[in-house]
Amino acid sequence: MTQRPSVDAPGSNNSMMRRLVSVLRDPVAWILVIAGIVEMISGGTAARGAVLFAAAGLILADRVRLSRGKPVSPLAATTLQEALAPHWWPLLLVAVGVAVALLREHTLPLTVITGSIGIALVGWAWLTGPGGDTAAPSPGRSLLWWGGLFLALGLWELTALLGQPTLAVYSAEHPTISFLIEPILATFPGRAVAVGLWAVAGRSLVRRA
Amino acid sequence: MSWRTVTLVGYTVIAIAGLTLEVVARRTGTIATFDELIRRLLRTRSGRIALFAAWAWLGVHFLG
Repeated sequence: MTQRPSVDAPGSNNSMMRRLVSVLRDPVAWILVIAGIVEMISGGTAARGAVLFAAAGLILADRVRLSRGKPVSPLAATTLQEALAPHWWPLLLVAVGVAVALLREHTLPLTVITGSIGIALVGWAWLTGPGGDTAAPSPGRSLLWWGGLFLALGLWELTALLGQPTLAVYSAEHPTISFLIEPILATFPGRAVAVGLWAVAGRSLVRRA
Repeated sequence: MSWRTVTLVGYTVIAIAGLTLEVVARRTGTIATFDELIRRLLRTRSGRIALFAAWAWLGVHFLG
């Protein structure tokens, strides 16, 4: 008697379907994709959308590898963390922020600087991340509270965005956070503080990762 | 009341809610503080990539 192949055998339709579902079920990737689409249709530059789409792509790539049973082998995160450890780093980053703020906002040089550093650190986070998600403790109720807060902020911002004449044209009657911050970033001190804070926040993330 | 005022009040309420959440988290310990939440999310691959992407996006959105 001939033995029939199992429906879950590698390569079978059922097995491929399960793998596809396991790849696509990560909500974080889809949140990033949706955020990227909103960014692009609301007048954002390609660089802004690219950061979000690239991050979603990395998460999906992880899922593909895990679904194939291939463990993700992380690199050591300590090298960069140790390099950023000294206490004088925040002062240096603020100084760099002041220097970088000499450039006008929303110009190519500033886009290249922030984009390059941002993409480099997203790549670093991907390469040095934990091997899987299973060992991590679930934030549970905390994530519900904090997630609810950020969801409320996102929906309120979206409401203001939809109240504009078009998605790409600001309205003083329906101010978005970008619209409110724009006058501050247009000044050199405001831009210096913003770049410095962004750099210090990046260092803080690397140190905690 | 104009739409502008309503919108600004909304942002203020959300900011106060965030500060309240942080104070409650620090005093009661029943939920994670913002810092603890970030640390926990950084221990997962998806959370880690999303946090760094959000940080990078803030840079290119407001500055770049």
